Amino acid sequence: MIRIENLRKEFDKGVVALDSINLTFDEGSFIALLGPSGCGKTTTLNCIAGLLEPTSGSIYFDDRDVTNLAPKDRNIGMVFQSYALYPHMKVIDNIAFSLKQKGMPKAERHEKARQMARKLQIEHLLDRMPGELSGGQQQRVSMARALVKEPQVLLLDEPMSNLDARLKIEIRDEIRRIQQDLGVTSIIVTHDQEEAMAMADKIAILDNGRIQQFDTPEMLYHKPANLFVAHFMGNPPMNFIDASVEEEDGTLWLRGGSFRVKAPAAMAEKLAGKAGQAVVIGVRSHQMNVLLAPAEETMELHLSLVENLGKDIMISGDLDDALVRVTIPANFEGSYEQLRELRRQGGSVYLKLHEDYNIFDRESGVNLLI
Amino acid sequence: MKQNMRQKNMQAYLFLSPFLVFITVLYILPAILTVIMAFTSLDSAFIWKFNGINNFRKILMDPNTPIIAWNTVKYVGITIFLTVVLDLFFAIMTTYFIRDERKGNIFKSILMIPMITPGVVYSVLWLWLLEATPNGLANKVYMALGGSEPLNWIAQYPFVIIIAATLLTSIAYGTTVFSSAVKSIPENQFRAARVDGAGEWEIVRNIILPNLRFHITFIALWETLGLLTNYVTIMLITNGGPGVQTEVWALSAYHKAFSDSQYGYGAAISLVLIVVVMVLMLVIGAVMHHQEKSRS
Amino acid sequence: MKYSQRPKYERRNETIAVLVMILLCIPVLFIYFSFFANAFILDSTGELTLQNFQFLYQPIQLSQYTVEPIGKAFRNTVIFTAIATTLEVTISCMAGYALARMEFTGKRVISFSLLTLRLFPGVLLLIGVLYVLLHLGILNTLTGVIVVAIALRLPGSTFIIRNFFAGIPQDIENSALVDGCNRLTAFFQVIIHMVKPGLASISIFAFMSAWSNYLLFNVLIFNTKTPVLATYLRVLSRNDQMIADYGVFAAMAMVYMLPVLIFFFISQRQLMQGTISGGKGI
Repeated sequence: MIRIENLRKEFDKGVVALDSINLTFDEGSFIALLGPSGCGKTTTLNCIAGLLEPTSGSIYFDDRDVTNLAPKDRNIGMVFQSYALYPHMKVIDNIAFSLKQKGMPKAERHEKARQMARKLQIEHLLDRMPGELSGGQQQRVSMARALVKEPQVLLLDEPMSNLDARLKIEIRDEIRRIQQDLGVTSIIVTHDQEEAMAMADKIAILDNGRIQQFDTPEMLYHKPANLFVAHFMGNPPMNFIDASVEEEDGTLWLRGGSFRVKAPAAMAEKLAGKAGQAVVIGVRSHQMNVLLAPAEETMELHLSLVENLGKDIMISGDLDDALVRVTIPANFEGSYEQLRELRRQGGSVYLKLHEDYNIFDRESGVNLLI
Repeated sequence: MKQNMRQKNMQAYLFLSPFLVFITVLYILPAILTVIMAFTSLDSAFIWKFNGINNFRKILMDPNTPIIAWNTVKYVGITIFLTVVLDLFFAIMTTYFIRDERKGNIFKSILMIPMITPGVVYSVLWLWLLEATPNGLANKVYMALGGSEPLNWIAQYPFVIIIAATLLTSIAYGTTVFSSAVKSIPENQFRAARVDGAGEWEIVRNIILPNLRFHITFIALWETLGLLTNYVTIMLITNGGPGVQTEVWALSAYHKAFSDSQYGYGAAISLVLIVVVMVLMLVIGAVMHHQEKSRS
Repeated sequence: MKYSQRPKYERRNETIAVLVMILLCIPVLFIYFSFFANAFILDSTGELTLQNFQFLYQPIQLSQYTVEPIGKAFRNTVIFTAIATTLEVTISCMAGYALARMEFTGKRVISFSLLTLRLFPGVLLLIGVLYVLLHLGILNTLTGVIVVAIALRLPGSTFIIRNFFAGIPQDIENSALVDGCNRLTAFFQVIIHMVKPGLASISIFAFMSAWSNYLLFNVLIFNTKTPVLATYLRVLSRNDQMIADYGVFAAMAMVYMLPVLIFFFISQRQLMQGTISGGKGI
């Protein structure tokens, strides 16, 4: 178990990089720290590694307080964004480097390095120098180097940001596989939400040095805690439509500039008594049906772009002041050509919301449904 | 937290201590001593006796002072100008026109030979070359070209000779710096210029020189510092003579202090130069600061 | 791009430039070769000879002066160069590392002083230095000259090597720390290997400048008991009657310059690299 309590980090001139970071997670789990650059995710990782000293707060590995331990005494393995292989050592010595520091004899540490290399399928590279390896190979070597000492925690600092798209997916599956095989508690830092969703058991989203939400990928996707998380998670991004809550004869409505829709029963109780409040409807591109003619409680979308994505059709357009994207299956009632034609004529389609969208307070950004 | 900082400081100062000891004992202390000495009549007896601004008055009264000052200005000015021009010429020749790095480097190495020749050998090389007898190499060439009598070059053209000798040792540095700057200009800039119809001269003027602007300023200032203060070449070839024809400011401080053992007076002469050097350093600092700003 | 693939006008320009450079370099090379050729020619008869090299093993007679064999001066020069180079490189390495990689109070002041000192010509302070050495009791000794030679070059070397240290990715050092090193073991097992080109540069500069140094011996040593090659040759060249025989001097100069030349040709690349990264020649 790893426990981070009230972690705070200030840099020179009083810049606060991290503020009251609290995280607890179980042995063997895979955690992602996700956020835009400058959000504090790498700072958090470096504090866990002991490469940075927190201003206040504590870090526990199980019940061991490691807050003031040197990195070498924490039993961690780390993979760096630049891989950071030692350029003057052969691959096998790179992998065995940490074992050498523990004073393990050469034959033994090389044997261990070889075993780890086998697991990562890089046995044939052991006698090369790092400079002779491709990016993906260097990545694997740095994984092997981090894992060979059987660390209590594996830290990964944007380990795939220097790889091309195809290799990224290959390596990320590989990391996930190895992590599960070895059962090592792992923390990855990334700015790529897709990567985080694919790999991690739980994701902590950071912004401005604070945790915005710490939850499973499913929850982050379906029930984002606030507008920041909602903006950050999912591709295409969530659509945001301004509205306000209205009450009429005991029924709750959401009224926008050009529409009025009834709040589903499940939402109604959370919104009770909030009549008059300015809110934002957050709806994902697949959480709407597209109709070619207006109907009860639909929203009119002025078409501006129709794209064929293969599996889906994506249409974009203006709804009140918002840009809204909708994905619809390619086999929907109308055809792609029909929609193209409609767009050329400057026409509209009509959107009917499913019942699983989110509603955020416009001022505070908080999700009103959780 | 505090304890940690103390530990960090201990560690760092452990690494720094030999450096700091050397700098303190052999830079800072001598600097302070030089300033104090400048106001004394210290000589080989090493008796500290303050004489106010007498040394500086003496400098002003010395009839040679204006000559030496003018020599210094001429020597530094002409040498700097020629150095920068030649540096540019050689850098462009060996890097831009000669694209083959191997060939270019051969020429650059040849240009480095005078720089790496120890001063005592280098000076004798010149004395031998310019020997006043008909056996001297320069005289042989001169007479083959139609000169009627062997010349005593050093007696007749001492100033030209010290400039030439200094020049040859100073071109290697600037050429290397300019070369690497030329090399770092993206090839596409040249291609684009050629497509736009520029000839080689326009490329040199409109692309290479503007790209080297900062380097040129820097080399000019940096070499000025060197020329103002390094007097070994002159000392070994003419030793300031004949008379004071090639005596420059730094050399005169050396003569007063180390040949005549007038340490106080020598320190005063040095101090004047130190002030000039400090001003130059401020200029260099400002230029580098400006450059860093415009880069970021 | 291969030479043959390049446009014709580029190849033509290159050929012209090569010819011009050859023409300009010939005089320099010619002068050097003619000068050193004297070493193998007997002045009186013009015959080829090795006689001029007798100073290597026995005293020689030049007009009415006796010149001691070169052995002692050579030994002193080797000692001086070896100690000065080793210490200069070690000390500047330690300081450069601290300034590039460590956090400590006073870092900004020291970094700024380093920049200033690198620009400041230390030779201007020799009068003060002389007095300091006198008080330390090492004036007129090889130790004194060694210490000053190191000090004068320290800011420059430290500046260069600091830049090399600063160029090492932070990740590499962090990686070593995570892998079980402390600051010191990381330095020796990882960091130092990554600044080898920088070490080579400052070592070459240090070696060349120490080997050729004349000024410091001239200023700080007043007798002939501690000759080095520079002063040994200088004594000869100052005396009109002795220098009349350029053969012996050229032979001595050759012995003196040989290590420099060998070193120069094997290390040219680092020399240029060092120059570019901010080293001031010799």
